[in-house]
Amino acid sequence: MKRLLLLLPLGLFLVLAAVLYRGLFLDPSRLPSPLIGKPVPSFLLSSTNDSSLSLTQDDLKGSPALINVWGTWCPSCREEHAVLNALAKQGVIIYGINYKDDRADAQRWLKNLQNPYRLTIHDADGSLGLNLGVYGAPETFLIDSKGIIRDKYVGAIDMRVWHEKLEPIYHKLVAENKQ
Amino acid sequence: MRRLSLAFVLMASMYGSNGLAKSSSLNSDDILLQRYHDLTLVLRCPKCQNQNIAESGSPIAEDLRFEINRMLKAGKSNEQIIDFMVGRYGEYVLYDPKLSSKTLPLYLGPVVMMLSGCLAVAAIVSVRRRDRFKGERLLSEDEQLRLISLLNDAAQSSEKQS
Repeated sequence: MKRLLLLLPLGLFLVLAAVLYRGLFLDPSRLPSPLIGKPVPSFLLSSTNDSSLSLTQDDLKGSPALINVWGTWCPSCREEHAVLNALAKQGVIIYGINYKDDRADAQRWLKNLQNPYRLTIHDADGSLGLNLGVYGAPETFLIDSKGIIRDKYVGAIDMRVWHEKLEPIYHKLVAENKQ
Repeated sequence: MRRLSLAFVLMASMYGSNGLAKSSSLNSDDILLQRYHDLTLVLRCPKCQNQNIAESGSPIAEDLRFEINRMLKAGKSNEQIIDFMVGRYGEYVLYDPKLSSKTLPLYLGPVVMMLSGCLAVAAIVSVRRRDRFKGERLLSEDEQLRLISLLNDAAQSSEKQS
């Protein structure tokens, strides 16, 4: 009993060391979104490519998809755009939110760099972005077929992020939808 | 005359109410301004961490300040505004997080650690005190005398050497 008591400080130290060691690999800039598990907030905004076409949250329902928040003013969005083009070619459904941007600039961007988005929502004043808790582009949400947000990624998606983090969840959502 | 005085009273009351409305709106503006300052100080900027949204120059902080201004003017309470922010950006935006099952270790951890430290020190002290008490009876009177003479011899020999 006394011996065990002598081992107690070592045990406590090991527990503390394990907790702190794990802390070394946590990224404090990744914030968990409180919106996970909740539906996409309601909105009524126009399409970036066609200002007469109005879009709502119901237009995003039907199948699992990515919602990518981007802007022409965002440098890392340009790098990400090529990845999104590749994913769209593979058949991944991607919706775009053109966040706090100029419509003409955005249209030119989509014309010159290809358009991976099934629909692009024109969120010029950032109201939808605010309701989604966006704090910097690019951000990407994963939604299921009912329009419920299932995951969120902050930062530019590259192929490594897609394969390691987002693709498994996306395939899970696709499988869920088939059942 | 009566009509004139009535008109005067009406005018005075109009003027009075007008003046009152003005001063009360001025006061409520001051209160709103104060609440705006208070809220922007306690809410944390999601983008530039370790700055509140009053200090931060990032676009998102600007948007959130604008939103707080809009909500205050719409008559929203501080709680409603804070809930709005937490609902979108998470508990993270609060500099003073609410007590919940998630934050409980943070609030109680230091107290628990300090108490267990005090308990450990108290336990060690009481054990040592008891042992010292025992120690006094470990040597018999003869042994005690012999110990003293040995110590004296050692002291003398070291004096000679030096």
